[in-house]
Amino acid sequence: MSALLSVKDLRIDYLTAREPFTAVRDISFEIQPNEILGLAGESGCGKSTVAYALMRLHKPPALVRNGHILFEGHDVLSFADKELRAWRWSEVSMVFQSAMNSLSAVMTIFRQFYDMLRAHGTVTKAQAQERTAEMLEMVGIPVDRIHAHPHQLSGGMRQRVALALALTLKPKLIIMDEPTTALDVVVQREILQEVLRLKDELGFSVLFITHDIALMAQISDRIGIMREGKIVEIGTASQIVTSPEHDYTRSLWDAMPLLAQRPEGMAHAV
Amino acid sequence: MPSDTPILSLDNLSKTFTVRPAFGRASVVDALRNVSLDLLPGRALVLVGESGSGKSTVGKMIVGIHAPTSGRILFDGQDIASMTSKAEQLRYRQAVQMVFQDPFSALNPAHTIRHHLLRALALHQPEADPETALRSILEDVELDPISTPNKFPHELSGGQRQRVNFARALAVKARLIVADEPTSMLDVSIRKSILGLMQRLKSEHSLSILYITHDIATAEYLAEDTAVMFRGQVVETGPTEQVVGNPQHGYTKLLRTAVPDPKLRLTGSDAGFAAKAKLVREASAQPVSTLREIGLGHFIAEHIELVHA
Repeated sequence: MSALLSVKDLRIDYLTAREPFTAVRDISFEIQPNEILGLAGESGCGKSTVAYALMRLHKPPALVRNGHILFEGHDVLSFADKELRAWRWSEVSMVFQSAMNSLSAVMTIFRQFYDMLRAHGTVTKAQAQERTAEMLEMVGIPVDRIHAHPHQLSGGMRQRVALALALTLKPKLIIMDEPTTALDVVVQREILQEVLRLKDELGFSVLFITHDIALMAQISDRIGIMREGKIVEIGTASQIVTSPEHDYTRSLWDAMPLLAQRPEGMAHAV
Repeated sequence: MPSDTPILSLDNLSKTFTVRPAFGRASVVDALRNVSLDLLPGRALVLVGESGSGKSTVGKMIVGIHAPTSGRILFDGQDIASMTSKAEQLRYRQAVQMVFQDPFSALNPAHTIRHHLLRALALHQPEADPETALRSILEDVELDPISTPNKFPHELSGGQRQRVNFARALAVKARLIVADEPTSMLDVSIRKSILGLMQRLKSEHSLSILYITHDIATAEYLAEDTAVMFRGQVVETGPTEQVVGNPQHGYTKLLRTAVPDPKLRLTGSDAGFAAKAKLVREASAQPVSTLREIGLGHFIAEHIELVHA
């Protein structure tokens, strides 16, 4: 199976007044079709910088110094502006940490879908409305909220809207940068289960970024552990959970406040 | 040896906020509904709940940022609303200190750590030699007593800054610390060490701690007692090992189940989790009729039954 996305020797510098700061140090990884790859690490380890660079959203003073990002064999870093605009969102989309900041506060939910659909093809308003309703229903938001503004929705609902926006054009890869960090655990669980259900239904890959490795282990197929700009360990989720090889991975597990004992059969027995 | 008189009691505390938006009608929000809790000296009580459950409102009312709409807050058995003399108010404000969620904005960026702590020491421990007291306080919170005093807040990490905030509470000889999400803005990898610090302050300085958090997994690391809040009401309270280890209220069970467990793989089928969660939330939002004791000191709320229209 050929990889959907392959990153080779990626190095990203931030230019500063003094020496450039290397945030990402020659990392390489691949994402297969239909796979969830988790990228975990402390704040400042470079995981978000990687996410932004994959969509070429990095801006100066961030600079890609070295390496390739290949998406289905095409070199993302050499796309022209027009190609890039068409490629973003229709092939790769992104869900950000704070949905409040990724949605426009002055536009209704429908308006944000309409904007996005028009930017990627010609649609009539009626078609856009139909598609928006369909997507909202898919993520479990009542269709009558289609003309609501973001501030009229709860945090969990806003994150669902952001997810619906990211899925509308049926991208092959969705980058999720701490998608549920601002939400409480019950809503977090609901949304991630929604993501998994939609993945089964639609088929896409996910790059899932968080510092909560317990959560990551629950949904990822493979996990990469990042530290100071390098991937120190990458393996299947069960290997990272049961037999971590790198000391740093072990120290991350040791530092996690986990519930000591969990009664049997608590999995879904609410 | 902890005595049995609570250092702090909340007696039937309620708080309503009136929200007056720029447009549209004003609405009333019941942030707290008849909350009663006791905190015993030298112990920690953890207040768990999701955002909007009213847990931070409880903390803010204890330190006097908000006044109760009804109900009383008793400190050493005395209603804090009856503390009208300046001396009494000062004594209370010295004894009760708050540590906030955001370690970055709780310190003045223009002053050194020495300045932050010496001011508190000069006011509250004027008899002590300031530099010696400063060093011993920094040692208490596991910061380097030699290099730290001359640093500015921006030169410290989030975890170190949170330690300075605890040091400040020690400098005024606080007896009760209200810690509102002290670890949630810190990296996962240093959360445990801050919990460990709080544990040590509790046992070595016999401080009482009210620990407010949304993360039920951290309760076991610190607190003898746990109270779970939902929509402004206490739904379950009791010894932590009972409430967290063997939860009985529907909402506590839901919260407990949703804590990420690395050994449990999630799949596309949620086995009715979302549907069940919705029902539990609806039922738990109903007014509490009684708190039923189901074990020694372990209470769960019984709600007025939801009538579906």
